[in-house]
Amino acid sequence: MRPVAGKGVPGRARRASRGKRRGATLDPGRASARLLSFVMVTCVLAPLRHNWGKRPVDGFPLSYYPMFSAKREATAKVTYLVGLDGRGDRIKIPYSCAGSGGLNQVRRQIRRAVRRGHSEELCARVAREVRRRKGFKEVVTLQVVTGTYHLDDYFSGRNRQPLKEKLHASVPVEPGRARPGTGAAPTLPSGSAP
Amino acid sequence: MRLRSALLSLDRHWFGGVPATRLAAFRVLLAGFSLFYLGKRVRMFVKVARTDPKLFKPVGVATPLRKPLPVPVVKATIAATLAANVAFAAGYKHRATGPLYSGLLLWTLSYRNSWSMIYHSDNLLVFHALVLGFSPSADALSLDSRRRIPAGLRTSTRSLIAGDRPPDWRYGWPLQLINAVTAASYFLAGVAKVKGPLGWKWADGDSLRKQVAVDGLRKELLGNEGAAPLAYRLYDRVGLLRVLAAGSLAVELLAPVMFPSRRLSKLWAIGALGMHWGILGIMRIKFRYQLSGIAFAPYFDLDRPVAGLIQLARHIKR
Repeated sequence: MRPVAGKGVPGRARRASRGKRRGATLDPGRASARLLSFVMVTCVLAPLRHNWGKRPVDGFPLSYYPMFSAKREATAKVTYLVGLDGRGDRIKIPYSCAGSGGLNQVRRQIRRAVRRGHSEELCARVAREVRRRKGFKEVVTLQVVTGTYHLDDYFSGRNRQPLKEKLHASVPVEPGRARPGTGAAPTLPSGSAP
Repeated sequence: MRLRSALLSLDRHWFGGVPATRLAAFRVLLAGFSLFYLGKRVRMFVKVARTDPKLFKPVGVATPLRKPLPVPVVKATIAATLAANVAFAAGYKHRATGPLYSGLLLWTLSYRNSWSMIYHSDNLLVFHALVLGFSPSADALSLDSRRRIPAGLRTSTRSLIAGDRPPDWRYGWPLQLINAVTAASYFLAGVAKVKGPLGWKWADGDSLRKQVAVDGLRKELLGNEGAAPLAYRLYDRVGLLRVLAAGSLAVELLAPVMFPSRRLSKLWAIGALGMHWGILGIMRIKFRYQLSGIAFAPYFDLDRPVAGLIQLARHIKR
């Protein structure tokens, strides 16, 4: 009897291919790869739950990537360092005078030091670092301040001055108090963290 | 039934055969980047390790630590990571050095991020290194694969790619996993934005403008370079910022949707790379691994340029 076209032989072929596929599916190598992949993707997606949590906690490398998701107001507060020369003119003091590890890391550490009431200590340490560095010879006073800026005014160039500024600490940059020859990284004062 | 066929289709996509050189080429790229990235930051990592212990807030695998490690231990760990990185790049004893390198990288970067600030630019590098470290990514372009070739043939350029292994699923799934992890990470970043206090308003342009402005202000007051000139130029162009915000949100939220299609995922990778260059231009934020394009390289057929380079090498030799 002649096989009916499209049924007999192709059916067998289909069954054989299905069997081959099932064989591939049950291959122990593939099964472990599947399990590993599932576990890893699940772990990476697990921090998603923090978006629904009351007190989300970020981690590394498992993160829920909260960067740029905060609500920003028309004004912004920043805590920073200011140098003053003999005439009272301001000199910008970069974050690297206060610590290592990048601007945002040091910025957070400065803010934390101020919150914990260690502004004076921080200011004194940064003053020593400023005294040690080249390019800051004119700085006679170092301050730690929190400024509130109006973003529209600042970025449109109408007014780059702070709306208000709170002085946390001010110390003289005394040549005699510099630590000569210490190549060590400046560190924030002890007790500046919770 | 539909779910079953979708799963089978995903399975076929996941276990599609690719040449060993494709996975190996990514290993070489990632290892090269990591070596450069870590090597350039050794001093900074050591300085960070000397920061006041009270600022230590361990994350990730460093979480069990109650206090910072002594600086000599940190130095030794960094040195070990760099040494393992070299072995991993060369594909030397990969079965041992692959997991060792990826584990040490995870440790070193977790420790570095344990000082009050998590840098989200390191996450993908660690995930990708973990997949490569535990997969057969040194079956080509490696000292291991070279050793498998008879001694008399080792001088040929062919010996570098170790016998042109045929496409195999064992080299395909690690790349699919790497791409899935990349897509999942971007998806998470997108969800965090729309689930945050701004919701879908994040895409209205004004919120991006404020994000850029706050970041720029911090750089003006504390940074060496100040805000990017583009931050000032774009400040009043809310319409353009709306397009950029909607575009970046689309890149993040659509990442998993694009993933199953090879063509769409390539387009997505180009979009994501463009987004990072845009962030650099507007905010001076450097996601170095992403900016280099290496994070998105597994979306492309990396074995082709390798084959081209080998052809070129043979041509020059003649």
